[in-house]
Amino acid sequence: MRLRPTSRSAACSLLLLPLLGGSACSPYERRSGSYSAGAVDPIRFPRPYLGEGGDGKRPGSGRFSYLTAFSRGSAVAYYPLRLHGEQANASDPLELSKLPLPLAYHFDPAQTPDGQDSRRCVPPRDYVYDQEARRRDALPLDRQGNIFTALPTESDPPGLTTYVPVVREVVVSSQKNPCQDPKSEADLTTRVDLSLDVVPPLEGSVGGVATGRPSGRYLLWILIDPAAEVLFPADQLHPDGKLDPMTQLGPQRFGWFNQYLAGYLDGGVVPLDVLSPPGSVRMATQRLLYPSRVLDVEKNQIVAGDLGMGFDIVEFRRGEEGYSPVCHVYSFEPHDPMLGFEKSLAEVDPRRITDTGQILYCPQPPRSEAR
Amino acid sequence: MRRSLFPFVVSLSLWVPLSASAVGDQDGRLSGVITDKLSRAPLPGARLRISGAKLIGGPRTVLTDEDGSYQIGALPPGSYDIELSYEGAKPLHRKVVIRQGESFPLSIAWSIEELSQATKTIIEQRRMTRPDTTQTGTVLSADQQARVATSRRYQDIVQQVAGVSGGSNPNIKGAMDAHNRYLVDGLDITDPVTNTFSANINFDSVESIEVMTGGAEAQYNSLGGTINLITTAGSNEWKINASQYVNHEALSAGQQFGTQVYQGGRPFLRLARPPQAGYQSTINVGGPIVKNRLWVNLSFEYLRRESSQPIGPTLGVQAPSLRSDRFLTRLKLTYAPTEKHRLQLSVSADPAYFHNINQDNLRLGVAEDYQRQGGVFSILQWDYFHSEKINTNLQAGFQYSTVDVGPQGFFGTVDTSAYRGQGRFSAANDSYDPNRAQHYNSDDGTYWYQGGSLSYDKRYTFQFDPSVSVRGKLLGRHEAKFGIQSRVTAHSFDFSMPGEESYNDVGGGPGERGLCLEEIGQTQGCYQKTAYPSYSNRQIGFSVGAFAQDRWQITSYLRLNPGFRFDYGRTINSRGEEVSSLFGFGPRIGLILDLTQDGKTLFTAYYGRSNEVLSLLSAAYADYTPSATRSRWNADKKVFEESSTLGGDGGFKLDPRGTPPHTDEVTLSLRREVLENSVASIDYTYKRVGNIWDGVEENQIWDPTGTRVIGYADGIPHQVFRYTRPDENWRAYHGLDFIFESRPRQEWDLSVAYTLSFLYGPGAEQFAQVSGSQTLGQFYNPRMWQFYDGYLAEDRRHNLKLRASYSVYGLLFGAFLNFQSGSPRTKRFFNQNEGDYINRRSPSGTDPGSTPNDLSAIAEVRTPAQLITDLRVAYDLHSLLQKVHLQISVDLFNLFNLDSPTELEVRDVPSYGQVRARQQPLRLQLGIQLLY
Repeated sequence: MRLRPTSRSAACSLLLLPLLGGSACSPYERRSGSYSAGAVDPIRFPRPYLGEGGDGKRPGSGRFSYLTAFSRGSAVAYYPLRLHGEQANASDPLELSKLPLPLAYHFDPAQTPDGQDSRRCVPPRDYVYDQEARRRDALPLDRQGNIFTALPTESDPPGLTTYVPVVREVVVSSQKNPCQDPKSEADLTTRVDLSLDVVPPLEGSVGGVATGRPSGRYLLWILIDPAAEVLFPADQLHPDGKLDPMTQLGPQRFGWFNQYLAGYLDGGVVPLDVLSPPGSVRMATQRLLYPSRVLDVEKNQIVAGDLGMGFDIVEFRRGEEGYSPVCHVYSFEPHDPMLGFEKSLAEVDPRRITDTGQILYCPQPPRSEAR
Repeated sequence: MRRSLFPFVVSLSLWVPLSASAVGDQDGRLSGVITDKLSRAPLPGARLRISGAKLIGGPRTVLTDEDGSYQIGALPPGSYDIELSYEGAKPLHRKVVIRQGESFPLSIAWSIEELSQATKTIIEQRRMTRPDTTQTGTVLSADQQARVATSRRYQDIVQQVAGVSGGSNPNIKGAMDAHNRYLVDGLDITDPVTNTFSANINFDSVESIEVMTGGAEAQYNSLGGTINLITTAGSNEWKINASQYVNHEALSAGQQFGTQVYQGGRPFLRLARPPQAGYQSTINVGGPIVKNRLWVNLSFEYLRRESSQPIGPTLGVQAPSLRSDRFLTRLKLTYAPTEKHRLQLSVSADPAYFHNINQDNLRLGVAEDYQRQGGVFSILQWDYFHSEKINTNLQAGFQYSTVDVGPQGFFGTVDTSAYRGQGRFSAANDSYDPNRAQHYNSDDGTYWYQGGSLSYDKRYTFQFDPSVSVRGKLLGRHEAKFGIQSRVTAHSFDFSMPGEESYNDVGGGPGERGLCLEEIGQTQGCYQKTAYPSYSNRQIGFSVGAFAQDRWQITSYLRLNPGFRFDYGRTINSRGEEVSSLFGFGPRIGLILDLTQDGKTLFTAYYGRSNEVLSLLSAAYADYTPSATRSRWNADKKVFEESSTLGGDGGFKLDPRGTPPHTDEVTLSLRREVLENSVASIDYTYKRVGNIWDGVEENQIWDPTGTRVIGYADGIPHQVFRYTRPDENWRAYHGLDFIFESRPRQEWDLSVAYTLSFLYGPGAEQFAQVSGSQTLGQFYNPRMWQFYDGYLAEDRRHNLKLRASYSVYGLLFGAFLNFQSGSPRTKRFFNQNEGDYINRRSPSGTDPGSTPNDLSAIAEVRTPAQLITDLRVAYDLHSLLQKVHLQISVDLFNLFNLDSPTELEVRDVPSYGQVRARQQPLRLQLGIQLLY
């Protein structure tokens, strides 16, 4: 007979506790409370969330390379994520009301710069995030990662998943919670060292639990293989893309799902289409353009253009009014690729713009955190 | 005058350095009180005369003290005749069996009637309650072992003892298999580098083995158990013991099996039975060169074995059989020039040669390895019996051993007969090329073209252990022992990599097609390769320990056994750097209550600490090696690019001082002589082994998930290991042993032991001795630390052992049964940096379950339980041949031909959970033994 953990513990206690002075026998019972269960296993992630070359059986094998685009003459980085699953096949892929959007708990968004984790939590005494701490700790212990409630999951057969990387924001206010201590939704709803507006379970529901009350904002937080390499756009010195010289990481962020360490690409707030009909939740987009012809510098000849070749133009930068991490893709006829390329929408002749009909997520990274 | 000597020696012992871990008890003791039956008054001046075949120098005689007590020490284990006489009375006789390391309590209450009656003889007595010590464990005698089927290796029969599990290097009450001490006639043959057994002994030359599992007194210093073996000395009669044992595959059941746990034999698979044979020839000759003065025993064993792993996953090719030849020689001389002196000299040699040692179905014959090992060891002992109160013991010994390992093709010929010419594999597998690099295919765990590295490994040990035993009275009776134990060790290591580099191929798919073979444009599996330069290094170390142990009988029912020891050890690497300089203090305290005041019901309580201050393994790791260069495949450029280095300058850091590895142990025991010559006991043991040696990697900076190395603390892409004894490297054991041992009559032998135990903690490793790779240890990747807490791989929840034998009219039936529940396994996941499966997603002893990222799905993983039943049936033709014992035996191993899995695939590959190995099938062994 195989004893269940509870009965085994009881048997163990019965036999040994008088001798052991009360210590428990099962080492697994010591793992209680809000401990880290390690990194999220991306084994069931849809391919787009594993990165280029990614394999769910080999976490870290994929790569997310941000691309360069231009907005009013300045370079910006963005990551093009094509729609996937049912959303890609929907008649209106911008409509969210029929998709199961999970909650995500966002710590102190009003007091925290966009794209950064809250520092209003309590770090360990005398904690300094230095080289040693960086080697030792998976995450800095002087801030609090945001908490997710669902992971990307591929359907069987693939391609039918209803998962979308948009979450409904729930605002959590830190009071005196130890940093990185809350790690799951269940943990949040029972803590007293946080301020959280909750929705009680429906009256009469069986097994219902309280959840956070959505703020009404939608965020593009794209959960990815947390082990994947994420790169800032390439430059001459770093033709494959580059990393933050301090952290050796890219623009990805880290948070928690059900006590597991989660990684995500933060695209910021998704604006809604104010003209959408009642009952509809429709994402507003911004324009992303690419030239139909570009100069191949190595061959010194004109070739067909495409998205991601380094000549893309986005309408708005992150932080600007009008910014959306969802893009409607257009191509345009450039003036003369041999003489240079357009770096601003204003430089593009509106009459030479063609709607490709393509919608994709185009998150721009938050401002890099200074260390 | 003699009485005053005791405190003098005690005070002296506090000033002079005392001795150590190798002074194992090789003798037994006899003690008791002679009283008047009616008045209970002690009888001083009673004369005890003890004689026996094992007692060189002839019978010994002592007189009882004024309180009627007596004690006779230094009695070699065996049968003895006791004659108790009193002036004016006829003598009284007893026959007792003294066991190694134990005290036989023989108290006699004489009546007036008995004094005037005729001689009275009583049948042979065995008292196994060990009334003067807290030590747990038992003694395995040659006599017992001759009655059951065994593998005829001293390392294996230790498994018969409660609290012992594992393999040839056993886990004793939760300690690692590298935490035991092995003593042979007092010589510590524990390997100075690996801390495992380092020598083999002719099995028929073993007289008895004391297996000490806990409660050890101060002369012992072991983090685990102590296996204290003594060999046969001669006697006053010439004796010959010769035997021949034969195994053959024709006498064994086939062992084909499926890969799934639920699959058994494959009745429709018609395959030739692979070789499975053994031939063991031994001869022992012993006798007097000079009667009662000089005895000799000479033994020789030749053992040839051939065994095969059956065809199975992954390659499905019959692996060449493992062939071994061992030559075990031993000479023992025992000399007693006078009654006060006894000298013993023993010399052993144990060369052995092994072909095709891997036997894992993960490589073809061309990639097999070879090993040759062995050496010589010798010890000289001098016992000086100054008086009934004082005796001294001096031991001086040395050992030289070697383990040379390398590709089979380098040392001998490779066996390619199972696949050559079949077209399944490329021609590169048909012959050995010493310049070809080894490839490891991480996709299916297979090895190709080349065995492992080539190493010549030599170890040297010198030992010098003086000790003095003192008996006296001071607020009760004392039996104290003081000593010094010193050891000097050295190690040399010469390394080279055939082909100069090795490949770790990933992503190319299984088999040879998945390898990275740039020369033929096959690069799908290219991932990483490492170039290893050749090197040599040398390490030396020494230790000195001092101990004092008293057995203090305060009253007739209360004893206190206080003791302590100090140990200091130091090791130095090739560069002259101090790798360790460790000091340890080991207090021991034992309490013994004789609940019924007759030596039959005892309660003992014990606390003790042991410290390991000398390990050349740490010095061997913390030594300079040239940089090995690791290169990563650039798929875009189709070339390997240097990525990091291993070893080299700055490749390691030292932490020589601090807390040594140590064991804290609490033992409670209740023992009761329940029947004649029978003892039942319940032992509880708590043991915590702390500060176990390991290497802590301190330079690599891992990404938050612990999958990729994203930086280096010193900015240089290399690994830096600090060789230290982390506080986090500990393991804890709780165990309850229920034991019944009985030898009610000469024809019966019975031992039953059930152990309930729990072994857990993060201390799974000591320099990769368990897993074989530093990358699998808890200190390689800080992101994985949290997963190294749980039930350890050596944890066995339930263990039932039964040894029973019965003989009648020359016919013998003996059986040994060993049931043990499964041992934990931990699922391993792919690590991008290593290109290997070293990461964890759940604690030790579990896998994450079938639902990823759900804590409630985490499930315990254990191998299935195992039951081993071995049977011996033998017949002794003594009744026909008179002076000669000629025994013919038939041994059946795994009587029920059970095939429980013993190893499972634990990597996150498609074959996860499948069976990698099973119990050896039913095997029959024929034997013939001549005793003259």
